[in-house]
Amino acid sequence: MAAKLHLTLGLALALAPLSVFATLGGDVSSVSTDQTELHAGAQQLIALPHQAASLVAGAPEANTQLPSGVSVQQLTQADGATIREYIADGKVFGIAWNAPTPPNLHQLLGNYFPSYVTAVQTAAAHGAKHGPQIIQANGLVVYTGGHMNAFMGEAFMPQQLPPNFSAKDIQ
Amino acid sequence: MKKYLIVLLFMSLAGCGGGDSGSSIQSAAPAVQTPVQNTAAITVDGTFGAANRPYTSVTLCKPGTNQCQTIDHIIIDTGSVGLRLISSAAITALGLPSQSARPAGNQLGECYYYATSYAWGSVKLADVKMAGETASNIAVQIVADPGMPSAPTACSNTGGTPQNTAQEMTGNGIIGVGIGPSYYDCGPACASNATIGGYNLYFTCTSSVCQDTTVPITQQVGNPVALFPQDNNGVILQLQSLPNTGTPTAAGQLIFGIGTQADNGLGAAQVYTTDDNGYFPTTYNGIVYKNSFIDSGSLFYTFQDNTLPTCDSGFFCPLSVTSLSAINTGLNGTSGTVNFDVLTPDAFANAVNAVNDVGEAATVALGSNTGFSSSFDWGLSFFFGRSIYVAYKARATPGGKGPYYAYAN
Repeated sequence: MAAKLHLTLGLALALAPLSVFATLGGDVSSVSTDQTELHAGAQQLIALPHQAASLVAGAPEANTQLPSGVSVQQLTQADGATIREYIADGKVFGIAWNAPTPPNLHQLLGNYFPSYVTAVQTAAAHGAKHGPQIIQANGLVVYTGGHMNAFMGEAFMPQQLPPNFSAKDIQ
Repeated sequence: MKKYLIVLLFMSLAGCGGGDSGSSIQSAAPAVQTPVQNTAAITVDGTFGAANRPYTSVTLCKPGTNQCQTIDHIIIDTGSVGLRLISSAAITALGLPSQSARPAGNQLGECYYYATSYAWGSVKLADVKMAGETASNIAVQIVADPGMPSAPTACSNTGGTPQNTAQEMTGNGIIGVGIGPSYYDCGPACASNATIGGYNLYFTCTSSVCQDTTVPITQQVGNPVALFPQDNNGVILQLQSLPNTGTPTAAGQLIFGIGTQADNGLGAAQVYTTDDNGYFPTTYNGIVYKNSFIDSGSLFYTFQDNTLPTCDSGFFCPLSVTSLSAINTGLNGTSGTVNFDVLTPDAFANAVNAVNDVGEAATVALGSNTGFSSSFDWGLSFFFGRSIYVAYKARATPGGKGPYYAYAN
């Protein structure tokens, strides 16, 4: 994970915006949309997750530094929920949260939300209830778990992670 | 010796909804409570098609009356707080009063959350009785109450599935007896205007529409055990040992109180203190998972291990019994190794589809993989063959004040 990332123009063109309002998969401006929709406080630019860990009580500590070119915007809701949006080349490619109640994924997952809901319903029909789960839907992976007052989760698109970036660094 | 006689006496009263006879003498001597029957039976069975669900019965009464209804198959959940019951004709017939809402005349509603599901319903007042214990006039949630408007979008925007039926809940209700930050299901945050728009837990509803509201802490849905007048400092879950291949049913006991009666001492159990949310560090394969917890409402061991074979279902599926170990460390520094096994679900005999694609209703050697790098979830698999103590914040016990978990290895 020590390798530095050098973003190329080619990569930038490959990550086309999916929706004006989408967050995951959306462009940087969608973070501001989230800020409004989630009634969150000011955005906080966090370059590296090891800094995030020191700023966010309860956030997991990062084991590694992020490649250059990857930044993290953190939104903090009035209830103390923290939502971290991972950005490379102007696009949000991953989201992580620590929140007292599950966050508004309708807003945060954007165009991916209907697929997520369908996948959760399928999992529930197979008896998965209450506990932590891995939800996979249409190229989206969501880890979700925790319990009331202390939920946590991560959402990302494996195919759209920047080179040299590991999903385990979304946290 | 006298204690046992009294315990026997109260056992005969348990569950019948009477029990007014003993209450008049309690106020005189606060330090010495008359012991009551403090043990309720636990069954783990496949009635609702789910493996590893621990159930007990709860008696619900219209406050201050003998109009009661005993409801079986209530899930015991050490990962949540509060009693939630799927609406039924029998519950409706009790005519439980509504918890007060603002403005007066509105009905208080609640959306309670789990990681991938939510329960929407009304908040009512009831006397909640288990064994010989009573939590008087506490708020409970009546899930899928037909008298309520449909769930607010705040519930469904989380992407979770609604739990509207006993089949969807995999029980007739769920009793959260866990380490909360509070004895109530939300605590100070839902009592403050500052978090409106965030928590999305409580709503004030007309007959057609609901909006966010605040609720004073003691009017929120509460942990019945923490609100008992005695034996209220925690619970013990005791479940029988199981073979690695599981059994169709399993039995155990839910004991109220820690060190308050002859039957609930700590014994050899070690105390692992936690943060206010019940989290403590677990070390597995050399990696520290700092938000780990012990949760009877989770079905299995859930942790990250990408070296074990994992099936499409997410279960670890080694073909032979695979022995693993992890180290739990309390915030008090207590540290202990837990040895446990995982085995493919296919190894469980009598693969009855009714039981959740897992052959048996009670399984000890089952784990599922997670991508999380911060949490090891000790689900019900961990409880078999153990006494698991769950001690509440700020309540004194022989092992010190909670919050903590305790168990013997």
